Amino acid sequence: MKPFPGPAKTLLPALALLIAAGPLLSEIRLEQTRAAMGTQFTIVAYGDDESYLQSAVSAAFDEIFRLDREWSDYIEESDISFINRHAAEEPVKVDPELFRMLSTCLEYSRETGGAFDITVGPLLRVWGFYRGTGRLPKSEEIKAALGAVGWQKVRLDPRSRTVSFAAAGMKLDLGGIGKGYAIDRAAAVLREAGVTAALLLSGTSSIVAIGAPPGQEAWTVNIRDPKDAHKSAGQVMLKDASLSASGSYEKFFKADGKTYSHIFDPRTGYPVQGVLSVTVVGSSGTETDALSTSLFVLGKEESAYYLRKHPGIRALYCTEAGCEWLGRAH
Amino acid sequence: MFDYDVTRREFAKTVATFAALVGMPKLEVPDLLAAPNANGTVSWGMVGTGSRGMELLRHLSKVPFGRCVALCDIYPVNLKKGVETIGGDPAPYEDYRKMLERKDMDAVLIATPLHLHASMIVDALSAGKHVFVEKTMVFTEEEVRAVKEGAAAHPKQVLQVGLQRRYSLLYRLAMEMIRKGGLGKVTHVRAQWHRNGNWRRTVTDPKLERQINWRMYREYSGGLMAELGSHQTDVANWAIGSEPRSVIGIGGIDYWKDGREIYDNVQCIFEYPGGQKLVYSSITSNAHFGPTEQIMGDEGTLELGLDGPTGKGMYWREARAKVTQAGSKEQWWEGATVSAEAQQKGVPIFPERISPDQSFLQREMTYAKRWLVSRGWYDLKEPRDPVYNQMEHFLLCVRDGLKPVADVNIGASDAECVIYSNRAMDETRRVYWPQYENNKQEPAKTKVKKA
Repeated sequence: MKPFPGPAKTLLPALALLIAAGPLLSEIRLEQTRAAMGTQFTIVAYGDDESYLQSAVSAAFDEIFRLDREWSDYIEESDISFINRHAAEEPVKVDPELFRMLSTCLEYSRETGGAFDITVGPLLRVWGFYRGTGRLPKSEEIKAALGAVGWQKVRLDPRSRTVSFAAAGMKLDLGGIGKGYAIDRAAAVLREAGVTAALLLSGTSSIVAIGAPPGQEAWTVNIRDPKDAHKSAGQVMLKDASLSASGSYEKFFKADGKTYSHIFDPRTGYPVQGVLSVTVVGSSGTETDALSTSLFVLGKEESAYYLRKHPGIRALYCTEAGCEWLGRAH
Repeated sequence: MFDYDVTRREFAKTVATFAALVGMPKLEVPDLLAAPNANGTVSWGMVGTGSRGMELLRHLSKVPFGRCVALCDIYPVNLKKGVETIGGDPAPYEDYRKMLERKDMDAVLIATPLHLHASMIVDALSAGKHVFVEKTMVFTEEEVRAVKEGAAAHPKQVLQVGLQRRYSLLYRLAMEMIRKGGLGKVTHVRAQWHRNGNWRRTVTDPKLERQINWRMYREYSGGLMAELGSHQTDVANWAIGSEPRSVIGIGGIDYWKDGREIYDNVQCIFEYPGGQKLVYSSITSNAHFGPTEQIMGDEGTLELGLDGPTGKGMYWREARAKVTQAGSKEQWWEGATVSAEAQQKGVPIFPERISPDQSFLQREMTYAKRWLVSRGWYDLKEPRDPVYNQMEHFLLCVRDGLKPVADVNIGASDAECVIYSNRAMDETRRVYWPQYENNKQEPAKTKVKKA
C-alpha cells in the first residue's frame, strides 16, 4: 500500500507561481511579534505568498516556544529545571540537542577563561537580580554563592549523554546564550522553508539576518549609544550574519553611591564595572549572544586579544571614554 | 470538605489536602532501592518522524531506560531529522513492516498520519510488539472494532494512546477534585481550541503537498476534531465519567479557502447518557481563547488548559444557598467587612511542587515516589512535561508489565467522539452512538400536556 498516492492532486496555485517566477517577486513583507523567554521576539520575512509566509513564520515561532518550554529555568517542568533539581544527586540524561548546547557553553567558558558561565545563577540570586531589581549583598553571601558557581563543576558524559554537578546548590541558566540560539533555530526553520530574506530579533539584544531585504544590500542595524538612547554609536550592515548587544544600562541598581549592573564577573562574584555596552557581530546568534556578555566581562584589552585570535568576529566596545570597534571581519 | 464557603486561605488548605490525596502517599516504603528490573532497558522503534514524532523523540531521548534501535519514515528528510533528534545509531527504515521484523525491538511508537494508525497498530501487535499510538487512535468505525479485537488478542502487550492530559499532574488533580465532590454534580463542559493561522506546513516541493499537509485532506485526516478536539473530548469523557450518547454539529470551510478539504471551524454539542452536555468549538481565525476546558458543576467550576508544559487550572465556587434542618440555635458575629474578592475571583490550583532546595529527606521521598510509580501505585513523581510523563510511563509499562493509563478503551471512546461528530457535521443530523441507535428517546424527558 502506498500511503500517499502521488502525484499531488492539488497544486497550490500561488506556490506554483512562486517556483515559476523564482526570486524576482518579493512583494509581501510579514512582521510578527510574540512573547517568549521573558522578552519579545520579532520576525520580519519577505516572500510572494502571504499564506506560505505565515506558515513559515508560525513554524519559526513554534521552534522558539519549544526551546522556551524545554530550557527555561523559570518553568518548573523544563529540562533545565529538572537538571537543577537533580544533577547534584545523580547524572541526569538529556536529549542530544541540549547536550550539544551544554557542550558549546562549556567550550565558550574554556575559551573565555570563565568569563562566560552558565552557572552564574546563584550570584544573580544573592544580588537580587533573579526576579528582582537588585540589592547589595554581604561579602559572606557572595562567597557562599561562589561555592555553587563554576563551569568546571559541570560534568558532561558523552557516553551516557548525562549532566551532573560537582557541588550542591548549582543552577544552570542559559539566559546568556539561549535567546541567540533560539533565533538561530528559528532562522533555520525559515531557511528550510525557502525564505531568503528575513530578520529575527530577540528583544533588541540579539538579531539574526537571513539575506537582505528586497532591493537592498543588507539589513541596516543602528547600535544604540549607551549614554544617549536617541543617538547611534555605530551602524552595521547585516547580511547572513548576527549581532548581539550587552549593556549595563539595561538593568542596574544604585547603592552607597555606586551603580551596580546586572552583568557579573563569575570569577569574582561582583558586577562588572566600567563597561557601558558591547555589541558583537558574528556568524550566528548563539555565538554573538554568548560573546557579547563574555567580552563585557573580559574588559577591553582582553576582548581585543580574544578577537585577534578569532577573526570574523567584531565588537563595538563602549566605555566612559567612548566607543571603539575591535576585531576584524573575514 | 466542600460544605463551607471557600476563602483563599481555606481553599489553599483544601487544595493542599487534594494534593496530599493525589500526590503524597504515605511513605511507608520498606526499601527505597527496590525498583523492579532497575537495569532493564526497553528497545523501541518509531514509525513516523514528522513534527509530532520529533516531539516524542525529544522526550524519549531523556528516558534513562529506553533505547531507540530503529526509525521509519517514507520522507527521507524527516527520517534524517529523526535520527539526529534521538541520537545514537538507530537503523533507518522506509517500510515499517521490515522494521517490525526486528527481533531486538520490544515496542513501537506510531506517529504517522491518522489513516495509517489502525493497520500499523494491528501489524505491530501481531508482530509481538508493545504499541504506543498517537491520538486519535483510529480513523473509522470499523477500525475501532479491528483495533479492540487486536488488543484483546494480545492481552499481554501494551497498547497506549497519546492523550497526554491523562499524564498531567494538573489534570489528574482536577479530576480528583471532581471525584471528591469539588464541583458537585458535573452538568456541562465547554471546551475550545482556538487558533489564528492557516494550520499549514510549508512545502517546498508541490509534489509533497498531500504528504506533508495530510491534515488538510479527508482521505487521511479527521480535521480539527481529530487533531485538536480529541484531546478535549477525552477530558470531557474523563470528567463526566462516560462516553457521549449523541452529537450534533456544524462545520465549514469559511475562512481558509485554499484547497483544504477539512473544516476550518467546527462547533459541536455532545450529549451524555446522564443529560450532561459538552459544547465544543475549534476555529482557526481567532486565538484569543486558546485551548481550555471549562468543567461546570452545580457547586463549582474548573477551567483547565495545557498551553505550555505547566498548564493552568482555576477553580470557582458557586454561591449556592445552603440548606440544613431547622432547629439549631441561631448565633451570629459582627465584624469587619469581608472582601467579596475571595469568592468572586478564581483560585488557582496547582499540582504538587518540588521545592528547588530539597532537603535530604525530601530527596529520599522523591526516590520513594519513583519506586511507587514503577509499581503503578502512584502516578507521577514531580512536575515534568506531560508528554515526557506519557513516554516514560509507556516504557515503564513495557518494562514492568504495567497497564497504561490511556488504554485502548479510552482511545476507542475518544476516536468515536471524532468519528461521530464529523459524521454529524457532514450529514447535518444528530448522530447517536450505536448502543443508543435503537433507543433515541431523551433520558428523563418530561411530557408536555397539550392545552
